[in-house]
Amino acid sequence: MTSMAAALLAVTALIVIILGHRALDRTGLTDKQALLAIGAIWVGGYFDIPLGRVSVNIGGFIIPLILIIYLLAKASSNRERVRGVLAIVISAAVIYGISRIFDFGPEYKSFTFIDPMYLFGALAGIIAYILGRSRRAAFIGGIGSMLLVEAGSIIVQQVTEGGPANLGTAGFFTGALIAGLVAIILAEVIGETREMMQGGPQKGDNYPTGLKKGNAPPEIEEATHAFRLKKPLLILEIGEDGEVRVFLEENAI
Amino acid sequence: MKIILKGSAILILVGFLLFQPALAVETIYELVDESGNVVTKTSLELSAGDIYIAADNSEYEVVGKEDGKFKVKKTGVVDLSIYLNQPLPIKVEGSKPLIGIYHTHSDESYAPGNPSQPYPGEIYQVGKALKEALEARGFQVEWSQANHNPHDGAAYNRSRDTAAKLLRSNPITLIDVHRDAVPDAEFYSTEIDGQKVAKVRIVAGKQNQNKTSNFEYAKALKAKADKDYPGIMEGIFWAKGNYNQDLGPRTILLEFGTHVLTLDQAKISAEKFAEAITAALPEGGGSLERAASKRAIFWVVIIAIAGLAIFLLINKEGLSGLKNLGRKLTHALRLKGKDRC
Repeated sequence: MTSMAAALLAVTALIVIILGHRALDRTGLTDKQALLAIGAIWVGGYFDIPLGRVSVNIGGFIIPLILIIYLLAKASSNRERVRGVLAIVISAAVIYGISRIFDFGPEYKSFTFIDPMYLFGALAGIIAYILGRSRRAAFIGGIGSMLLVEAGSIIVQQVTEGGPANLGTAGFFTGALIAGLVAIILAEVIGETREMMQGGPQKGDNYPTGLKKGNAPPEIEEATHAFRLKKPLLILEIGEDGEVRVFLEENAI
Repeated sequence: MKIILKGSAILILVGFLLFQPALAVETIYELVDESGNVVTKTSLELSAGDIYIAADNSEYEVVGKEDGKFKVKKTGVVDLSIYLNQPLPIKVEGSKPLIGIYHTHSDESYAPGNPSQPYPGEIYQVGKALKEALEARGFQVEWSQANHNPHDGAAYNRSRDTAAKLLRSNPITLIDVHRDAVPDAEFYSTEIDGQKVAKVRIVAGKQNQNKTSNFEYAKALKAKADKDYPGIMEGIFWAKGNYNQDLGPRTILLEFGTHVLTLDQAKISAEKFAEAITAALPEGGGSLERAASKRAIFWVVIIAIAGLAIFLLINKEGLSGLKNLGRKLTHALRLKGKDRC
């Protein structure tokens, strides 16, 4: 490998680790879990499991699937779980519909404004963010919907036509993971921008008590991202490792 | 009531999207120059700034769309002779270099049958002809017969997995073999050695970091093909789109004729085009990653800086947020969970 290729690989790896870590951090995973997930996806990307004529990749399909199931199981309420599943199903339907309307190849009615990988991720991210109202929901919707569309199309294809097929064999660079990354970045940009424009929680009767000057414990001083909700309810969760997480209703901020 | 309305709206949207028929409508555009001459035809949705290099090496830039036609202006004539005397900058190593071939559109077929057939479409036979011709010229070829049907907007997402899997073997070039959908047999064919053969069009996407090296590679292929088989090249499109070409330099999309030509005409074309590929690539081995260019690094760094700027702009914590991110990452890398901030 030339030094130039090594430099490119190093810069790309650093960006992927930072972005991936940031993304997974927003899902509510601890740092250890986030790094473990990134490592498992990276290493698992080199291993395929043959299922009949379909090569299923560990890093590009199995680990993301486990991650989505884990995040859904870890949700704080059934309502959040239902929202997560709804986000996956509706985003998958939208992605499937778009892929039927537009052909992204150069032969038929093409659509070249944006690469489908990023378009699907952006759509899934927006839909899931609207439905789930959290970065975690955007991530679950982004990856989950793409996994559903990919697996669904391969199952239908195998039943109707057969032939060898690949599922997630692009590993870290598979469409589902890129969609998940785009979804969470978009949710982060929308969320942060919205909160910045709003200027933090509105003053008045509904101003969260915990954020009033002098009332906030040191751990949650940074909790300036609070929304003004109809029924403001602040939940503090202190993890075993001393991690303090702040929730408004069911949604983590 | 509000929930019922919301639920109904979602159901209608999902139902509408799920029952969309697959769109395989031929929308053929003509590219027309300043004098009103038709330069070429395509179904590719072009944008201003996209480039087309015609068979005679005239270079045209798309300037807009009017009455369903793309207006182009001639920007000059490209001198491809430099590619005949100068090999591509690929570091040579070992012998018997590897070439990867796959088919994103598994249904593509030719006349006189249905142009879209169940897996495997006739396009696989064109891929096989190309594989055998390259093997006869001393290359190793890894030809993926993976199925990427249905032919819809997610086909490139499915073929991305195949392309990346082929790249694990470090091929010197990765070729996605297609056929075009321009319904004009005369336009897309030529006569070589008394045989009617399909013309070849190269499509290089501009929406990826390898756009320059892939365009250079396309021009080198055209130069070699023009030398051995004048008339076999239809042209090169360097236009918006990715087609999984972000995965590496020398990842290229070739259109062997169009659906109104016959399979045999496309197979002959593939056999002849193998000569151009052989001439454009070095005799020894090499790999895609070795062609990583300074430009690619430049863009990765620029994107990283832009991302950082956006992060600082929208994140309320500003610079301290960045410090926190760095601190968290350092802690996480050391796996000191208790020190998490």
